Amino acid sequence: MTPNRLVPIALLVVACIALADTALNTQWPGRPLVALAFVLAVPGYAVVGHLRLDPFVAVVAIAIALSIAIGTIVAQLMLWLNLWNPAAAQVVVGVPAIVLLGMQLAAQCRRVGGGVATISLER
Amino acid sequence: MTATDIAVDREPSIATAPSPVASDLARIMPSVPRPARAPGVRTLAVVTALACVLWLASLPSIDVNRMTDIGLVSVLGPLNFAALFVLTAAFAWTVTFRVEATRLLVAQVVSLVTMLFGITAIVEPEPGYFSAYLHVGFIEYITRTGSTLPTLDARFSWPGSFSLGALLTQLAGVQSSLYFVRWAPLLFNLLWLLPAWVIVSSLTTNPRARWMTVWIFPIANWVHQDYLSPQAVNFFLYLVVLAVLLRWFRPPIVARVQAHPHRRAAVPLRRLLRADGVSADQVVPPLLDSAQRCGLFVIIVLTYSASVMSHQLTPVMLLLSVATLAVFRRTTLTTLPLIMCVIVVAWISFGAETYWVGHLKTLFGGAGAVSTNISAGIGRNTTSGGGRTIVVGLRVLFTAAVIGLAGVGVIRRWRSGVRQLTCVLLAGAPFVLVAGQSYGGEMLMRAFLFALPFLAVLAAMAFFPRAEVRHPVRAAVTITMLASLLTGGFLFARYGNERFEMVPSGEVAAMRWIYTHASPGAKLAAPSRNLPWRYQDIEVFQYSPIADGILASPKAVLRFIDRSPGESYFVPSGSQQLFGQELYGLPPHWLDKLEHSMVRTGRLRLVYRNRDTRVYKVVPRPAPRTPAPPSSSGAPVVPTPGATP
Repeated sequence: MTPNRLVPIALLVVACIALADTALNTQWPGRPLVALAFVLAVPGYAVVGHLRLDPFVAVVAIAIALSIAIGTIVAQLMLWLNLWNPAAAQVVVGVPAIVLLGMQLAAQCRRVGGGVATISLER
Repeated sequence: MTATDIAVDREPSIATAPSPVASDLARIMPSVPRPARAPGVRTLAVVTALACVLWLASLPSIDVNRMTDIGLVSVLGPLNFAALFVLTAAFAWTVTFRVEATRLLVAQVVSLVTMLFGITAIVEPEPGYFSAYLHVGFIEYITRTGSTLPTLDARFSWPGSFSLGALLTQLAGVQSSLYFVRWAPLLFNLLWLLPAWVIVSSLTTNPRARWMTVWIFPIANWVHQDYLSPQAVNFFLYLVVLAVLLRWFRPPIVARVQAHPHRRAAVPLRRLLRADGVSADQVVPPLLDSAQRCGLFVIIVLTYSASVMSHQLTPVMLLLSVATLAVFRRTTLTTLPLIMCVIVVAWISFGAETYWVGHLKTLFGGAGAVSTNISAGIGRNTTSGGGRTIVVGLRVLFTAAVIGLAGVGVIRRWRSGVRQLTCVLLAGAPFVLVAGQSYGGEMLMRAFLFALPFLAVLAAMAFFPRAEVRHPVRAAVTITMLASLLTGGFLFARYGNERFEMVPSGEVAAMRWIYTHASPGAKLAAPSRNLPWRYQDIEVFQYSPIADGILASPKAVLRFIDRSPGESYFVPSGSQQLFGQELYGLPPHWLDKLEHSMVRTGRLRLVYRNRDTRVYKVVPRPAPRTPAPPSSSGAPVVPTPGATP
């Protein structure tokens, strides 16, 4: 499986676990690492993955930078509006990110399906 | 100059690994003469593994409590040095003979970064560096109150990274962001390598120069800005924005020069400044569709906006670098500096208003005072003698060596027909700010940090100015020797202050005791700022580091503590004694003597002690019945040679 396919799946899982952690307020040793992966990668990759850039190292770097930017701006908005609520922020960022990651996966599946169809037609 | 001059595609001549990077390498790499004794990939992998085993075996024997005034190097054993040397040799041979072994090179670079930046996380008892504790305190305040306190500290006028840290801390379900402090340096140094790779990949297709860059970048990065801090996060953003501009928004220089051949002779200076020259390893910017261009532009603007909210210095450095690219036509986004200016002005006008009102002298007072700003950076840490002087001297020498190596790279590239001016401009741009600001005496080393990715590219060119390697064994030996020397220099430069920057467990335990037992509003006085305090309740207590000018006099210190009435504590500790000795130039045992003198006044009552720290409660001064007699306590006065009055 290529990184382009593997990473959206992994981040989709991370996003779901992170949302569940916050909703259920679980306490397990992996929660900080999942939260770190969520904050550093999920929102950014959900967007950058759609731009179809390469190489993969650049995609990862931009995804992390964008995630940091989104997290910073969202947190700053909460401070300005006196609405500090990390759980709500996670939902606001996480749910659209899950949708975008799902769309990435669906698009990849369609591309793979289309490729197979073309090959079969040519045959 | 013809179109054929810029052709980068060559016939594949080496075996390709399955990864896309490796296949890319195979496409562009010329054949390399390999002597019969060239080691195989498996052999090099075994040597790399051996280096890792040696390093792991060296860790248990490191006793940080026996450190001397030259820092961590004094307690590293021969196994540790051997591990670094073996790893460097393995890398040198891999990059010279087996550059297609991408996975092995990745493993070697990650191993190097772990050995250099993960060591303190493993061998030191507490997560390090006192400034990180202060940042944890800012984050704790936001998690507790959901607001900031810009009047408390200037850094709260740029709260972006702290608010992000608060968000992360609460989502992680941990008590405090101290959880992330220990491994932050390793994480940040690994993260910085990603955009550094993209930057060098945008400047050359020569894979050896690329790998050499990501090897030199960490071993030259002695500037200690990778702890949990806004500057560490923002340095990553700085690198990513420049990486995006260099990779996707670079004009096709060759095409432009070809379109106006008559200008080349007519305006040689302009040609010199605007054209990098053409070589076989030049990277042609990939074509983007409008959605991709638009998306990347929005990402740049968002990233820069987040940076502007988070740090004072990084956005200015980035603006300077982007403006340099725009002025010298190294980017197609020529209006970007203007947009960045608007964002900066907007933030300073609204977000950071609390800070700049009344601080204009701090902001612009250093303008034009170049020599003052430089000497503030070099001279402020050289007050004491002994190991401290050696460390500061080595830092200057090490920095000069990196810049010198980059200079050699420029010359070797020039001789091979490429001017590499984009890189030179980006390496030079941060130093412009040295003329305008001292940044608390840190501007010179901060400028070096921001220039470092580009200095590393140029330094890598010193080893591999072109894709072909004519004398591979000689190249591998040279790399092994010079990179080992640099690594040794790094250990001195980076960890030279470690004896007092390391946080002892006793100091953390003492501060925990204070937070549990002291009343809200109590004054906490310490002989220096070098204490792991303020990581919680930042606004609840009065934190008062005592000015170094009065540390000679117990009475002056007591007067300082008595300035505000109420419950007060005095917190001397071992690392503060070392801090004063090595940074303020105070004599050995100065704090022991001060403490002893203060105890003899009867004003201090010991309430907590451990091996590293004592906590004294200050007995309130009795109301004077008669006019105070002249001082006759006879308490010894600690001389303060070199202390700033």
